[in-house]
Amino acid sequence: MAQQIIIEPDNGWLRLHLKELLAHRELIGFLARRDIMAQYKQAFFGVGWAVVRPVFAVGVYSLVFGKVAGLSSSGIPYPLFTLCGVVAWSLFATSLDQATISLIANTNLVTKVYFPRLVLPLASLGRGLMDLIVALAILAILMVFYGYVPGVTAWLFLFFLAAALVLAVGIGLFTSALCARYHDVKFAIPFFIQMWFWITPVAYGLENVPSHLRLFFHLNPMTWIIQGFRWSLLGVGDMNPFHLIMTAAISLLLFVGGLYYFRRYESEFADII
Amino acid sequence: MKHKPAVRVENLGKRYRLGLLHGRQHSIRDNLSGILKRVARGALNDKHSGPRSKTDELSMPAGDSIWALKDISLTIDEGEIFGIIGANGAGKSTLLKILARITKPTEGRAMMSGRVGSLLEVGTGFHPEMTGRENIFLNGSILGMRKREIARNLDQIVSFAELERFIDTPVKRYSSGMYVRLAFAVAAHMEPEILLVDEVLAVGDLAFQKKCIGKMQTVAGQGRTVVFVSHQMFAVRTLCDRVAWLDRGQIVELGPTFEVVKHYEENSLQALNDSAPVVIRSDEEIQKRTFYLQRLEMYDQIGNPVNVFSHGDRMSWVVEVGGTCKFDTYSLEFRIHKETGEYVATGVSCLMHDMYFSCHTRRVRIDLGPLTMTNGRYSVSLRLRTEMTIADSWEPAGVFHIIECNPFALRREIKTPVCVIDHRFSSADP
Repeated sequence: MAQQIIIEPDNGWLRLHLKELLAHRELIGFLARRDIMAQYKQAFFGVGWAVVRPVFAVGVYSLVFGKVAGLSSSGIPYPLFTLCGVVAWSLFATSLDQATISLIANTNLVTKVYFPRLVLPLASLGRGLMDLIVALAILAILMVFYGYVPGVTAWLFLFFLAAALVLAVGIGLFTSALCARYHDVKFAIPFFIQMWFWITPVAYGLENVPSHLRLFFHLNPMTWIIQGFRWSLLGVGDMNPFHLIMTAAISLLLFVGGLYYFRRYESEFADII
Repeated sequence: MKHKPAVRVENLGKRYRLGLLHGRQHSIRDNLSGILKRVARGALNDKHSGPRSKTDELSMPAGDSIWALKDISLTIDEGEIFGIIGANGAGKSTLLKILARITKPTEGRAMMSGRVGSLLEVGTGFHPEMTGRENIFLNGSILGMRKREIARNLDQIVSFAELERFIDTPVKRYSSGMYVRLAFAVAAHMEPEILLVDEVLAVGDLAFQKKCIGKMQTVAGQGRTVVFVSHQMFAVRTLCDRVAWLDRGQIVELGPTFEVVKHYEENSLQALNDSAPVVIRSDEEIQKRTFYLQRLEMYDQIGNPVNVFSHGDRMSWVVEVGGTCKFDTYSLEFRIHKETGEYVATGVSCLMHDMYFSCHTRRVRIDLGPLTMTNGRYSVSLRLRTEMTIADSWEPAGVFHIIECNPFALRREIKTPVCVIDHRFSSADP
């Protein structure tokens, strides 16, 4: 029996069409691969950049935060401490940035071909994940170097990884849809991410934050995701179920909100982009 | 045999905000100022003031929006090649985009039974850094093919594109011809039940266009449905069974290809001011003269005033003179030029036929044909002779068009000559 397609105006109800999205999973893979290959193919260092960036970042952060500012690192060697934070932060920042521009960077696809538009922000996660794999390998080398053996809680790192992705996609769905309408967003987001970096304990320990400002830091979901990475992989800091639930809840809430907004305006993308 | 409808469109309409049609309006500032203005005018009632949605659009005053499509209803049968024609901005591409689900209609609905493949552009999503092979998979996947399906057809795609040697070269090193061949090869191997095609014939060389047409005929031959938007009437005539002619978002005529295309072409020619079948000269042009040409009428064989003819038709002109003649007789001369500049034909009543008209004769009839000229726009110039002098010359007096010249309409690879002489080929062997 041939499939029946009915085209109608939006009736205001939001349907997720997950089955259709699933049918396009190969497309997500191909687009993600295209983004990754396109980034590294013509570059002289190629994938080397994925190594150079975290290494340099760790070097500079260790110097500025550790030596110049003299901040503490929860009793862990500064490079190891910072790299662990950078791994998580880069995943989040790259994913959010790429998701934001995912629609406008593929204008010709949006205006010429039909597929569930969710494919684009999802495929844009490829680059962040690719960098993550490289960064994790460097982290593993550094852990061996400093003699840190991951404990039994190490697998929980996957939870925080997922939280970082869900958070980035959630915000990214909102910003990408907004970006299709207002191209200003493309310029605002990198700036916004940079500001967010400073108020997140990526390159300094949470214990450096004055206690009266702690609450503000605690409300930042990225604080717990970064702390979670360090807690699960390096075994530092404390992590109670409340923090876990908080992180998951905030990430999911933003994700659902972003998804709603994206779906709400999805049918207009081809007209306004 | 009962026809099963493959596509059914009911009262489809699409409204665009005017701002959307004119360039990139999207900065937050613009929209904010728009909202502020509306607040100032009190036009914004207590609804939400966020980015406008579809419902806002409907409540907007008509001046801010335009119906790109309105009340479109049609049915396309399975296995049919259906053409959509019309001038730029008639709504052809909007209709196709709605059927392709790229954009949503504002009202009405469309139903389609079967997998839909759309070819609105060849090579969508190609990445220059990636090899031909990698792009086949990417592009195929974008067009809705499964990986397995692409892998199975890979060899065919590559040989169809004639790119065996370059398949692992980044496509940025391809010539534009190779690029288009590869892109079309991928598209040609998707196997939808309904194929939507937009203007893709406009790109690529003639060989590519032929391949494209051939492929569409094959698709339809297998009982699948093709919806084809084009400006190129030769392609529409060759391919389509039925055609819908759109103008300003509405269907003007829907029916068999030959009729609709003919009407469409006549109409678009009439839209040109210079091509009325009856031309009356303006007063300023003739006020300096005492004896002058004042009117030209063109008729077809059965006496209808027309200036659009098919190859092989006959036509008649009636030339009217005005003013007073100082001599007893006058004679007429005509010349026909093709718009491309060729001097095609002439006729001089005195010199060629030894024919003079008495000055009491006000209207002279000239019969021409059969017209051996090929497709194009032809201008007529007239001269009025008395004794040995030229009393008046009127050029161009009128314009006529030849629109149906089949051998050249269909075979674009032949360079079109000015005329076609009746001929036949046969073996001269004993």
